[in-house]
Amino acid sequence: MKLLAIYAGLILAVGVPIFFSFYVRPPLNLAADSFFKNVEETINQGDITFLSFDFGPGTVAENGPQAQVVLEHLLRKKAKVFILSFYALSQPFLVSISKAVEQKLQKEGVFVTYGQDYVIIGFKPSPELFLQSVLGAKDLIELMGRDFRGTPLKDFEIGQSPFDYTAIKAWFQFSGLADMLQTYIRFLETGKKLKLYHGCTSITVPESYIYLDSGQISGLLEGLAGSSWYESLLSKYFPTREPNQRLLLQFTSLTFGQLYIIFLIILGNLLSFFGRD
Amino acid sequence: MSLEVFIVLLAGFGTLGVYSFLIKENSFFRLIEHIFIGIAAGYTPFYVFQNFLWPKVFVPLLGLNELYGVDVEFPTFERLAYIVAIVVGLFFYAQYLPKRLQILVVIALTISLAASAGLAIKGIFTELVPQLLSSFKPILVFNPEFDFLESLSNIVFLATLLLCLTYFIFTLYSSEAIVSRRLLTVAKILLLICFGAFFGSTISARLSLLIERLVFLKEEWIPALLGLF
Repeated sequence: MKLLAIYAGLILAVGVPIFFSFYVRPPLNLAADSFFKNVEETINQGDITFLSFDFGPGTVAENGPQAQVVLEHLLRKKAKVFILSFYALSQPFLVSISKAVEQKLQKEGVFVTYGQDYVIIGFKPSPELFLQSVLGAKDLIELMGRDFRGTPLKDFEIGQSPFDYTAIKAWFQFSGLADMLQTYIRFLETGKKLKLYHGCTSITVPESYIYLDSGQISGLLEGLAGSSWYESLLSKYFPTREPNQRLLLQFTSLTFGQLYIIFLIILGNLLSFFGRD
Repeated sequence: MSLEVFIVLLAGFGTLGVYSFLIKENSFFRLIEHIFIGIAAGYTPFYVFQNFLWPKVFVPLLGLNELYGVDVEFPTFERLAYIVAIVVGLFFYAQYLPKRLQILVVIALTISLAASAGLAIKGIFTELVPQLLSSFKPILVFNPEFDFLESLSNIVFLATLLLCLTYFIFTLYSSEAIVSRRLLTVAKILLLICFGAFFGSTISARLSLLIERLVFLKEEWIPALLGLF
């Protein structure tokens, strides 16, 4: 009965913002702020960028919004985006997130074209082998070969010019999988040869910070808090864009949920201190 | 009812089925749990076979390129390498063969372990060494004037790093000496702060998953359900 009451309290705490649709403004997140400003200042029109959606249904709640806001930012800046994944379960999200961003931009009159502004490479097995090949390949278009539907990349405008890893301005990787970030760092020699930006789930935030501190990753988005602050910066830099209400709603619910957890921890400690069960 | 609506309704029932466990274990939860496990187990091998193994390995290997419209062709050496790799990979299943053939598993395991060891050695140089180098921070920071906060941050970082590292050298401290016991206590507190951070961030991640499901139920499932009536 007590457990049910605790669960009911939690559902109430996170459910109230959802069902009554009110938002709190996301607080400043230093890592996301730095991430945004790096992208804004260093990525220009025509720059080649890679996005890796290495997440599945288990972490899409945190990695999905991160991928969405960063992809939107890159497409607004007219960068060339190659989207791929080393995780088989991410395939549906490669398409759904890209389509959602494309439709959102088109509603605002920012036209992006598949094959010209971005292309979805799809799932590639064995990240170790592929990432090692990236540094050695003379032509990455030939290495990647085709898009997720099997169309040769050379048939698209984005695949007309061959390029090697030195042309990659930045690689953005979103994942909550254990050891996935470390695989990128090991085989791409990030920090020296390539700039890697990472979006992680809240669980892997403490271990991702050590790579940010050492310069092996150039930016870090911390779960929902990071993507919420990134979203608010997008609205600040592109005032005519419609804010992502769903993301702000989720962040507000998370805030209330965490306040509830803190309340329970304090209550539990007080009850324990005064000697009650 | 369109396919998209049906998928949304099914997803909602699946979500509620899993959360029904919070009330009590029940058959509905078990049914949904087994369906999810089955899908998760079956999706990846099927997807890898359909999108990688068949078009990129077996079709060129079997010379079916023209039949399937695949323009990948393997030169002879590459074909031989793929056949050797496939055969060695199949050795993993030799444990299901008669006992005298089970030794073949050792070949596959040896190659796999050797590759992992090689990758781990590479990882030391590309992953750990940069972190080691970045841990050499100045105790006093001048930018160009003395930066107290940055200096304090670096001192705390170095103290935490050294204490936590030496905590795990169990023969270093003498349990009788007061200084040893106090340093061990400080190291333990620092480690517990770290574990607390991990625990707190885990709660945040789990709450995010719950919230995403609740938003889905409110914005997609309930309208789809009401649309049926």
